[in-house]
This record gives sequence, structure tokens and C-alpha cells, in this order.
Amino acid sequence: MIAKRMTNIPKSFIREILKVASNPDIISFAGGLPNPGLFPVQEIQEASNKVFSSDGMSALQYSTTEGYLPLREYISARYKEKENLDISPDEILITNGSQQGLDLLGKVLIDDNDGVIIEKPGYLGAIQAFSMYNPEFYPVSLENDGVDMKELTTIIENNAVKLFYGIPNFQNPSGVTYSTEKREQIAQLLDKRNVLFIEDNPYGELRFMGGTKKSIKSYLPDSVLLGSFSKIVSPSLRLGWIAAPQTILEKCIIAKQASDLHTNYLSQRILYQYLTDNNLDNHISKITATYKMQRDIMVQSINTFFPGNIEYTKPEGGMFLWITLPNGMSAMKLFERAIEKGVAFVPGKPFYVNDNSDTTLRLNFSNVTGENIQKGIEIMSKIIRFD
Amino acid sequence: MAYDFSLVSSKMKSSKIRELMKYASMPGVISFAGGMPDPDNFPFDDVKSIINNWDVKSSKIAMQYGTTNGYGALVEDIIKRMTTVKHINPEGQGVVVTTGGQQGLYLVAKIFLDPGDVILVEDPTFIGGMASFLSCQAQVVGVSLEDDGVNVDELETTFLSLKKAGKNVKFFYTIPNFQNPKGSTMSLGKRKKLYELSKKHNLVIIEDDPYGDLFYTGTSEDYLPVKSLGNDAPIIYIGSFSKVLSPGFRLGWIYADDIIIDKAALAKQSIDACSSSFGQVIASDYLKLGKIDDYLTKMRAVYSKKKNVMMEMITQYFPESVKVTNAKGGFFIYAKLPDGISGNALFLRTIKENVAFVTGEPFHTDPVTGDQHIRLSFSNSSDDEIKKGIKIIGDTITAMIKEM
Repeated sequence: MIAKRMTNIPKSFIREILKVASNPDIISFAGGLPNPGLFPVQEIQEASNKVFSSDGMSALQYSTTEGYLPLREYISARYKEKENLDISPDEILITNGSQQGLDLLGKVLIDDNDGVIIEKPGYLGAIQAFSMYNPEFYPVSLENDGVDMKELTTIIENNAVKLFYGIPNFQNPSGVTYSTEKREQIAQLLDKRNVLFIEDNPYGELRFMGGTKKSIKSYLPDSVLLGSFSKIVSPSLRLGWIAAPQTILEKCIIAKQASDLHTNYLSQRILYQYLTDNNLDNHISKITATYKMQRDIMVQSINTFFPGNIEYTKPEGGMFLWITLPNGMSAMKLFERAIEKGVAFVPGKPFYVNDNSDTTLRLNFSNVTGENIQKGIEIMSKIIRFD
Repeated sequence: MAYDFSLVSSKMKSSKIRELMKYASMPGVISFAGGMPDPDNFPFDDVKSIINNWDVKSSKIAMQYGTTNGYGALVEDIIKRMTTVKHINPEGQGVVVTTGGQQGLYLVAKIFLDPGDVILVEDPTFIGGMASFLSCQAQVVGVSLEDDGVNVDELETTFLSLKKAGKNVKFFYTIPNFQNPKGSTMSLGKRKKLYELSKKHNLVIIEDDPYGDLFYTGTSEDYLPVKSLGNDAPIIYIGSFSKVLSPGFRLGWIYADDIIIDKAALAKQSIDACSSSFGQVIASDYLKLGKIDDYLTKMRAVYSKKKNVMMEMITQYFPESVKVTNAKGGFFIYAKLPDGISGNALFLRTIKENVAFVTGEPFHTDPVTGDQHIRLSFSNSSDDEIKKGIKIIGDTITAMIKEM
């Protein structure tokens, strides 16, 4: 009875972990949640009061599929201001979180067995969304400065590849950021080979150290760029966007009509009001200051407690840090022991498509207090050292 | 760059209604086109105070990612209403909160439909439903819709002959209450027959019920879902807050067997991860205020009055050769035009006089039959607009008959 595509989706192991980790007694490095203490609650309340006082009736009505025009204009202007990127409001579609962008792009681009390049390890939400369209995945290894270019070139030269999905800033799960050189090289290579790049950038504005890097779309204007307000304002508003050439965007708009008609209009109006009345950059700097502190505590704790043969990434932004255990050590086993001792994280397995690698794991630092970060890392290190 | 789109997307067409809506939303146009609720009565004062009254705990929930199945308190509220108001036995049933009722349809399509699978629909049927099913490359087969609901005998014959021909028939999609576009309501006799048929052949029923609370005669008991007849038939119920609370939240739900709910939640993870917690906490808090039943009573009166005005005007200004359904609830009156009069031709004439509606064409499996119909929505127009607009449509039909 059930459609074949449903058998392709990876079982959500993470969902099970998150259930365990939601126990308040557990120190959880497992989720990918923003720190709720930083939500602009009062400002959002004020913004909603304004919306209801001025235009409550229309804010609660059905709306257009493309999304609220002033919000799209805001996004367009911010691209121009931040990276001198020309993306017109007509090239922006507001989505129900950027996760929806992945489903819509999968739908309009991927047929059975089409080649899709994905980072190794890769973002689980994208693996799930694309799996629904039954592609042939080509994972390409991540190094400390982005994907392995040699591997990428070989894959593209030897296979019919349709698109490459990547997160160049503070990648989920690894925390890796692509260097400027690699961004340029990727743009050149994909342009030459006519492979579409889907650039997911949910964390780009959460940079707390190092210099800002231009998005790949600025080198490759025909590519697709996904954005989100989830990590910089609030995830519950479910507001993300697709910035894409109009030929792609028109298809996505039609697909969205069959999917959910339009994105929550009330959220769009309240968010726009919030953005108009507040300085987003000031708010983001509060977030990055907190995350930097949390990240620093995590890096220091790892440095202090973990044995020297454990490798870890040192992210310049975002929410995640990636651990590689020495050969022979199992992240799954570590997970089982750690849970018993009250610490949760996500073993690396679900982030690999065609690989059973069991030596890696993801740690989230955005939603854990400094004290608990230290405690949790110490508990993990005891298990690693003595078990 | 040359973009290489998927096969599905190269077949996608922008909906005709969407094209027409461009006219309908132009200022000064009296529009009976959209199926929009009446915004004058949205409970926005309540919603505003709900947001302002959130304590730290509520506001943190309301602004954080939520679980894929939905906000726990809202899920409980939905189950409670499904049990007490709709009389559905909750045993073994579960909820996924969806981003509008439309997403419920999309999820159902995702979890059931492989390319080439057949689904059965009422003819005419809701275009949003068809769009979701077609987007998963299903083949849509229509079954006659009568004034008292789908022709159940024809449904069975069609189902059996398709099975015999080796087709994979995945489900039957129905809107039993105040159907969109026809406005028809399935009789209790047919509901029972449909339930038995579903049970006998294990034919999945997708029961879409966005308007069920908006009845204008009788009581809630007269419009109970087919699913309320028991849990021995595979029936998936799709509900929506859009028509009863406000479409602005984009909230609906699927209520079905736990096995289906697990699949739907898995599909939803990849589609949008979760529906807005912000909207869900508001909806849950609103239900807790205990005002929903009074609000629904008020809205029934508001819409019923609009419908009566429209029916009176139709009686007065439409030629007798136009046959209309007198809907017992919902938002729509469906009119069959006299032979030889095209809905599209009528539209092109009335729009010049600033009156819009939707022609039947996109709702029917046969566009020629569809073009003999028009759908008139009364939900979002003032009495004066209804009076003025219906007179213009009626006069135009009369003129077209004379010209024949």
C-alpha cells in the first residue's frame, strides 16, 4: 500500500536520540536547537501587537504563495548590504523553514537515479528530503577547509551529476567552513560542468571569529541559495527562503501550491514588523557572543579532558563541533555508555549516506550552559579513557 | 545555465484559478472566486491577548522548534474534539499537526502514491487535492458526485474494474460536508454504505473535512465524519483550523491509525520538519479559552446569512434554466449553466463589469462538463457586494441566452 519512496528515507535515529535527550536530567549535546534564552520574546510580542492593531484582519487571511513582498524586499536588501549580492525580490520564495526549500528543490529537480553530490558527513535533513526523490548520492569528503576538491572533480568527471548540495558556512554536522579558494574553485568547476549548486546557509550569520566569506552564489549567479530566520530570530516562525533564478523559482512556486499553498502569513507579518522596529545585527551579535563563549568552553574542555589522539573541528561560527575518535573506538558504544551517565550526543552514522563509519560524533554547544558543557565533556572523557 | 528539471515539474502547470485570482484581487472587483473566510470576524483580539499573556515558559515553547507530530497540548485538544464533537473512537488513532489542510493532502500523497498509481475522486473535486495527488504522478479517476454525495455503487464498480485491469488503486478522496466546489453533503445512508465499502475492499478513504463545523441547518450530529462510523475501515481524516479559526496560522491535522501517523510524521520531517509552534501555541491557548463553540455558533450565523442573501438574489436574477445546489454549509454555491453557455465566456463578460467567480473547468475530470459550471463563494463578500454581483452575473446569463 505504501509508496516506494517511503522505504528510501533513512529511519530517524536522531529523532529517537532526541526523545531520550529531552529528559531534563540529561546534558544534551544532541539537538541542533538555538539557545532559547536569546529569543527576542518581548520584541516579538510588541511586533505582533502592532500587526494586530494595524492590520489584524489581513494578517490572519490566506495569502500569496510567493510570500509577503516587504519581507522578500528586506531579504533582497540585506544580501545587497552584506555581500553586495544582487538578488531581486522576484527571485525569492518564502518557505516554511528552509527544510521546505529542500523538499521543493528535490521535487522540481530530481528524478529517479539522478546524481546528487552531498558532503560526507552531510546534513541529515537534506539527505532525508532528497531521498524521497530517489537520487544516486555521491558523497564527497570534507576537509578542514571544505570538500576534497580532487574527489569532487573525479566524481563530476566520471558521473552524470545533476546537482551538488552543500553548507559552506559552519556545516552541519561538522562545523567546517569552506575557504575562499575552494569556493572559487567549486564555482568554476560546476559552471564548466553545468552542475547546479544548492548552497544552504542557515548558520552564515552566526560567525563569531574569523573573516566573513562570500557565498558561492556570488561567484556562480545561476546557483540556488537557501536562507533562514530560524537561527537568527526564532525557528518556530518557520520562515526560510529560496533565492534562485526565476526559471527554478517559478517551478518551486507551483510545487509549493500543491504542498501547502503558502507560508504562515501571520509569522511573516510579525517577523517583518520585528525586523523593521529592531536592529537585527545587534540581536545577532548577542547570539554570537553567547555561542562563542559556549564554543570556547567546549573547545577548552575537550583540550583539557580528552586524550590527545582525538581529533576535533574548531568552528568559527554556527552551533556544532565534530569529533573523530581513534580507529577501533566506536561512537555508538560511547553513546550507549554516555547516556547511562547522563550525557547525550549524536553518533556520526546517520550523517553518512553509503558508509558505516562509526568513529565520529556531533556535539552541539548552542543549547547547553557553560557549566554543563564542562561537566558533560568531562563525563565523556572518563568513558573514553577508562572503558 | 540550462536547468534540467524533473519530469514531474515539467508537467506542472500553474493553476487556472491562480491566474483568475489575479483579476479577482484587483481593487474594485466583487469577487466570489476565492474560498476565503470572512476576515471581519477573525478572533484577533483574543489572539493578541494570548500572545501578550505568554509567560516565559510558554513563550520559549512558542518560539522554539517543535516536534514533528505537533505541540503536545494542541494534539491533546484535537484528539478531545475529534472524540467529543466528531464522535471518532480514539483507540489506536493518532495526530500529526500539518501546515494547513493542504499539507495533509500532500503528506497523504507522499506516503501512498507511486507513479502510475490510481486514485479515485469525486467529480468535480477540490483542485488543491488534485494538485497534490498529481504532483506524486498519480492517475486521477472521477466518480459521479450527486446532490447527496458520491455515487457509491459507481465507486465500487469503478474500483473493481480498475483492480481487474491490474491497476494499483490507492485511495478514494472525498469531502463529505459542503463539498468544494459543489456544496453537496453526503447523506447518512451513503456514509454508511461508503464505510462498508471501505471495510469490505480495504479501500483507504481520505476524508477531507475543512468545512464540517460550518453547517447552516441541523446540528453537528447531522454532519459527523464517515470515520465516526468505526475504526474497522481504513479512513484518514484531514481537518483544518483555516476555516474555523483563521488561515493565517496555516494549521491543520491528520487523524488516522497510528501506522499512518508514523509514516506521515516521517514524511513531514523531510517536508518542513515541523509546523509553526508559534501558531500551534496560539491555537491551543485559544481552544483553552473555551470560546470556540460560541465563536463557531456566531460564524455559522454570519455565513448562513450571506448564503441566504446569495440564494435570494440567485432566485431573483438567475434564469430558471440555471440549476444551483443549495449548500447546507461551507462557502460555496455551485451553478450549472444552461446548455450552450460557457462558464469561461461568462467570466470574460462579467469581469469587464468587475465581477469575478471561478469556472467549473479545473474541478472536473472532463473540462467540457466543467465549463458548464461556475462556483460562487459567498463567504468573503458583503451583502451589498453579493446583491450587486449576483445581479450582474444573472443579467449576463440572461443576455447570453438571448444571443444564442
